[in-house]
Amino acid sequence: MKIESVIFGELEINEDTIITFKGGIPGFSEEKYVIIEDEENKVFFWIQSIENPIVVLPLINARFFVEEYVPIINNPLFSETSEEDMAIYNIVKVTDNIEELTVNLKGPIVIDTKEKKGMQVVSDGDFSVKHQLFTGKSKKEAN
Amino acid sequence: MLALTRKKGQSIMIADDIEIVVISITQDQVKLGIRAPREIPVNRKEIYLAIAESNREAKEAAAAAASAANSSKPGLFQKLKDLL
Repeated sequence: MKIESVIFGELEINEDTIITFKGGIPGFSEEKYVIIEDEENKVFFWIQSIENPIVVLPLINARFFVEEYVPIINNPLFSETSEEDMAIYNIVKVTDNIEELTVNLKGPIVIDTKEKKGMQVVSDGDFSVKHQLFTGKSKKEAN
Repeated sequence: MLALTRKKGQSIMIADDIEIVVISITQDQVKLGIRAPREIPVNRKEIYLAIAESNREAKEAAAAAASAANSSKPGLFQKLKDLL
């Protein structure tokens, strides 16, 4: 099927790759997404709503960049998900000043690739919503 | 907002499948148990709001970077890739 993306334009996607996020993700009520791998750029992935072209967020696998990052996923949605079926991504906020790029370590996007279901969970542990990837610092969080 | 008075051990039901139980009460804290279908996200509100704000910022920042690159392939991401 064809979908629209504000970043990638028209995209042809395989319906088998659609992941359902029941209830949406925080800030967005859209429930159906695909993960786009940027062919020219293997570092970033994108989570794209298939219903709303403007809902598209960049992702990385933070575990490859932050050595000490081991998210604790104890959400019951994934209690029967095997390790090889579980994909974990982290949403990135880009900035013109690259040093200030932040990654959300506290709320990883978790996907059961076999069951095609996902949730943005809250990881236990002392992780930041705005972790500076290049300096290792955590921005002060508003709460 | 609907307000209901409950004692320790009592519950409220939301629709057919969500139950909230008062587990314990101390002077200024209440411990709640939530029984809900597992696909329903349940979070402390302040963490939920911080993540929602962060998600919205990430979306805006990516859209701005992509339009600044003035093409369908955001150039900023190529720069970032080179750094990572």
